Amino acid sequence: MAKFEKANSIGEWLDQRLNTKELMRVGVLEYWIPKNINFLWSFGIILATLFGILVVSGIFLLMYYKPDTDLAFYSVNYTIMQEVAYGWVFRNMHAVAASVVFLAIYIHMFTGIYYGSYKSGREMIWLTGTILLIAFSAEGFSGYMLPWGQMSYWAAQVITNLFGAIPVIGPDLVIWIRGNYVVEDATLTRFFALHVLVIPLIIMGVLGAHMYALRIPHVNNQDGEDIDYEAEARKFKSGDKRNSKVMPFWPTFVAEDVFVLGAFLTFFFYLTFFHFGFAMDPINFIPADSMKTPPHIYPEWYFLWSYEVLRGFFFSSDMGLIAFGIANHIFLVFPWLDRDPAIKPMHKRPLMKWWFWSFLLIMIALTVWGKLPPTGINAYIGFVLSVAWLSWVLILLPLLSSIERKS
Amino acid sequence: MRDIKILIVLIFFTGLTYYGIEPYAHHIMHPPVEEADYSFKDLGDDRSQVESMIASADVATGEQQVLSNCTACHSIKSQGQQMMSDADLIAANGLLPPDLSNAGSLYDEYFLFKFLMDPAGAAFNSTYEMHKKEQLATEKAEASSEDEKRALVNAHQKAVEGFKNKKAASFIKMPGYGWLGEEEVANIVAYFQSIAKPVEELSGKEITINACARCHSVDYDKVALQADAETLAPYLGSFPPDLSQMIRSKGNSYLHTFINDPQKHLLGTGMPRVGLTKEAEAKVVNYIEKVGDPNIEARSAIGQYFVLFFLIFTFFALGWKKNEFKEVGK
Repeated sequence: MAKFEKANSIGEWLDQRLNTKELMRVGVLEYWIPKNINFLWSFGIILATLFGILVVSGIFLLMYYKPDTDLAFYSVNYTIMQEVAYGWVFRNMHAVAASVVFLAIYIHMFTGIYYGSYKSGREMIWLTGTILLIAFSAEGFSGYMLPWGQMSYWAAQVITNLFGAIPVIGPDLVIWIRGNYVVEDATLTRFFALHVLVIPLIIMGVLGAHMYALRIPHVNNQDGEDIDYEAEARKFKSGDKRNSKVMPFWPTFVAEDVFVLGAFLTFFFYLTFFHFGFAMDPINFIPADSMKTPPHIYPEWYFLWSYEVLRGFFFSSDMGLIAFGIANHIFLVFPWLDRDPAIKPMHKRPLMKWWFWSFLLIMIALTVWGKLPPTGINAYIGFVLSVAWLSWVLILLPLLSSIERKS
Repeated sequence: MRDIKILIVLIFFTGLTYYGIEPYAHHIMHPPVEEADYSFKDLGDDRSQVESMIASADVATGEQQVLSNCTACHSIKSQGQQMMSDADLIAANGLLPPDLSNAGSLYDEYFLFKFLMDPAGAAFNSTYEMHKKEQLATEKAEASSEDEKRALVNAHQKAVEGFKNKKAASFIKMPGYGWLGEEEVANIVAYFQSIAKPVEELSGKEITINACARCHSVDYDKVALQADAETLAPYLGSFPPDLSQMIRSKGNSYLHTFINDPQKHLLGTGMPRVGLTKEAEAKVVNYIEKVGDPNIEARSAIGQYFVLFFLIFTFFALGWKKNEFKEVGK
């Protein structure tokens, strides 16, 4: 055993046993961030904080929520919202954070796409990030079922039903997922287990991998410049802080993060207390009723674009389902669909900049039409948008990027 | 500067998405309806005559008519009139006929008059026919051929007849008193007005119990259904929902137009129009809001401190950030 001398401070005592000084040095003091960034680089901390808010508010909700089809609606809307002191604060925070976390995820993703931060060495960051998107989607979907309102029930009905179209195993798979022939108590309790334990654990694990994946290739910068981190770090440490292209994670980058986070939380709490309607659909304040189908069934806003890709092929549910499957997984292979290895922001890519902004507009249009009733002209608009989305990702992205590579 | 530009782009696209999925989509899914009509114009154009008839009616005769025609099924607790217990009334009628103590102030006098003359007509038929006509007009405008239009007219006529003869008649258990003649009915309304407490003195809960609770419970405020739950659903077509969360699922303005005229939103529904006055209905909606969303005041009271705290937090964080950035020359 190593020889321990008497420590003069708590810090020293901890350092002797846990090597905390070295940990701090590697972890934050000499973790180098490029200076050439903007506030979009702080969405990571925003997402981590939102996840924290979801976990903490979720634990409080868990203390009173009852996963039982007879009790769930009442335990949410009466016990938590009215009986428990400040229960409504936690529910509003949980609901708003669950919705806003997807806004932050999409902003984070499109930042990555815009600055080309997913390729040439940074694939693992992107890949773990995309897995996080899928895990958060599963978390959002399973959580939405818990209040057992009309939208909880019918969204569960529609989405679990989708698996029935898978060849051969489909019908059995649906029963296996639901735990019964229809969506009912067994479905609620298993999605409860997934929501409060399984998926959060997966998220925490992948979140760790996502942050670790950043360490080797380093975070990208606004111009995609290839920075010699060792040289720049030496320059910074020798005292030439101004001319070095990098800054330390602590305290400089954290100061920026905390500022952006503060501004974001101001917005978040404004939504939580004064403008939460978008995160709590009115239809879900009607108790689940298997005999009454609501006139309009739609998922939460963050699923609308892929839901519209599914509905867009209104003439063939099989084609819709294939497109839906592609939509939910294609982001995983994005780094390989972009055929140009050069890391450049979109405004420096003559063709791809048009691709990026039109792709963003297609995503937004799909989101809006995903909510509108698919009747009359809307069905055809949805079809055009779905085909456009697929061609933008599967054809235009590889095509335009390889043209750019060659020129 | 670039950060500001990026922020503007971010706000623009987020705002565009929000506008599309919230205000715009909801506008498309729930097209706005006309405002609530508290003068019940569809019941006729004789409101002023009826009002003056009631104003000059004979209250004492009205009382006699009420005692010989109404109290077998209705209690008038404020006057000590209760021939059967509420439980027996429910057993006999399937649901509790409303207590009439305050009928003269809760319900619009013109509506009450028309309702006594022809209950199904006032509660259902008149408004059903009106909205069916509007529906026919829009459908006809979309129809392409004359044949199609004729078919539409026939279908609508059939629907109106079927509703009047079968459905509406079965929704209402109260018999009409048109045979008494307009003058006697006016006397009855005048009597109700003479014994009623003004709406200002009644609580939203009392009004809701009188106007709504024979079909709807309010679980979260322990207001029980004043009906035999077994027979209610077959009688009305479907089980009337509990009102506890109505303010969250339907919202304030929908509740106003819906209570005033259910057919406006749900053509053919078994829910009758009950003819609440504007003031009484406002108290009902206010009560439903209190029960379903009791934290409205607490939300803004607490919320402002959260927002203020994070504004100050952000302000100090900006100072820290500027300081750190100056240090490294960014």
